[in-house]
Amino acid sequence: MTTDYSLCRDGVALFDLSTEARFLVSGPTAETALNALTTIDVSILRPWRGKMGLFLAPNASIIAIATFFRADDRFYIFAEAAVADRLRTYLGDEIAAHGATLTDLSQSHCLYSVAGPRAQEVMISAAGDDVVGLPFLSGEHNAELSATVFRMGNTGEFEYRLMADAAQASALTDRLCEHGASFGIAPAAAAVMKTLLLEMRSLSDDDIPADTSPFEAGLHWMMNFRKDQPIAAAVLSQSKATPRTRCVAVTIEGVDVVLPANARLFIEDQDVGVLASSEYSQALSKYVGVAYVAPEFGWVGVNFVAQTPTGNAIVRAVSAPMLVTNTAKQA
Amino acid sequence: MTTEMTLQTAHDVAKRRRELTERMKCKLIERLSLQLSSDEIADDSPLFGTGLSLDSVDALEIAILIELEFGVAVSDDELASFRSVNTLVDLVQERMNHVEEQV
Repeated sequence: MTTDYSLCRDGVALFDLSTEARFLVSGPTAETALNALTTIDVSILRPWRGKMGLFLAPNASIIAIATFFRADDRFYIFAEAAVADRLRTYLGDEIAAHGATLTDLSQSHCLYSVAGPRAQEVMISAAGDDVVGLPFLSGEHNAELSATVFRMGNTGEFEYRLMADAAQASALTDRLCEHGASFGIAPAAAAVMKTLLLEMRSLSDDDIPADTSPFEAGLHWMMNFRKDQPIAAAVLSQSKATPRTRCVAVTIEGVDVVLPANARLFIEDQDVGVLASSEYSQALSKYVGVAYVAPEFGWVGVNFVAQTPTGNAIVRAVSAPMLVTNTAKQA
Repeated sequence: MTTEMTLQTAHDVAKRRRELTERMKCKLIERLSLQLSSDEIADDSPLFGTGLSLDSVDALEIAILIELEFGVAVSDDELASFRSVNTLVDLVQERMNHVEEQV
């Protein structure tokens, strides 16, 4: 795991993300259908540009975090593997109800990620110079790779997602490994993504407790406030004014043991919140995670205590992203 | 400080941070003409690429804002640490704490 982490933070890693969710929404009502279901305004997306948004339940809880790309009159939707079944069911019902067509690409297409500070060099070699001009959250078809290339991802590094016909998977990875060899590319386990994402405070499904609103999770930057929210408008308004909890990025110090998910957090003897998840950060040499705490204490600099069999751990609210990546330093 | 806090200290730390964060958001909205209210900006929202979708010109505007409004000079190296509202507040708070310690 350590090697996989270093590959992505210091060099370039190749992740097989084929278990992640990916859908295509098409038909004359595709735009209307998506606008009725998501928190962003997809009508303002230019061709081959993308944006992150949310699917919300009627109680304003988060069904899924997704990345949307417009491809002419069609839309691609990407989301993490953990929400694939939930999203398939939800979209299957809702997209059809709006008269659009949903195509599940999860089996028919493979999905890989080339990520790390050297990812751009690998992609120039494998896909051609044009990829340099590909801005974050944009995509294009690449003839060299016979794949659609998307600049997306939340690791804080250069990250390219490549989607191709499933039958082309071996040819695609062979080409990436061949062209990436001189840059040290190697396959990495997708499991390490969790740590990379937590360091950036990019939330995954298991970081978000049930019934948490976007405001409580700090994900309201994935909402378009100038658009009428067709789902959960009243609940969102209330949650904006009086959130029940605040999500904060945290570092954990004082113990050598892993804190369990759902460990309670205290100030003096007052129970003020819960640790949602944590992972060991090699770059920071400590555990990092996210916690949900009482709104009055959900601010950077506040220290909480989590009790463990070997002593008290100090759980400190910190700013995110927690580190400046090598890619960010290059930029 | 990574020690246990009393409730009173936690309240004080949170209050100071909340006030500074709110002030930073209001100044960003004003300086960059953002069509948002301060409670629509998440503290850890990315500033560039996604989130507020700012660009390199905005980064320079933020550096000027921090110098004019908070009296904190920003070096070129520190521009790389501009990643979210919280990281901006960290920079300002760190300098303020340093000045207070010297006084």
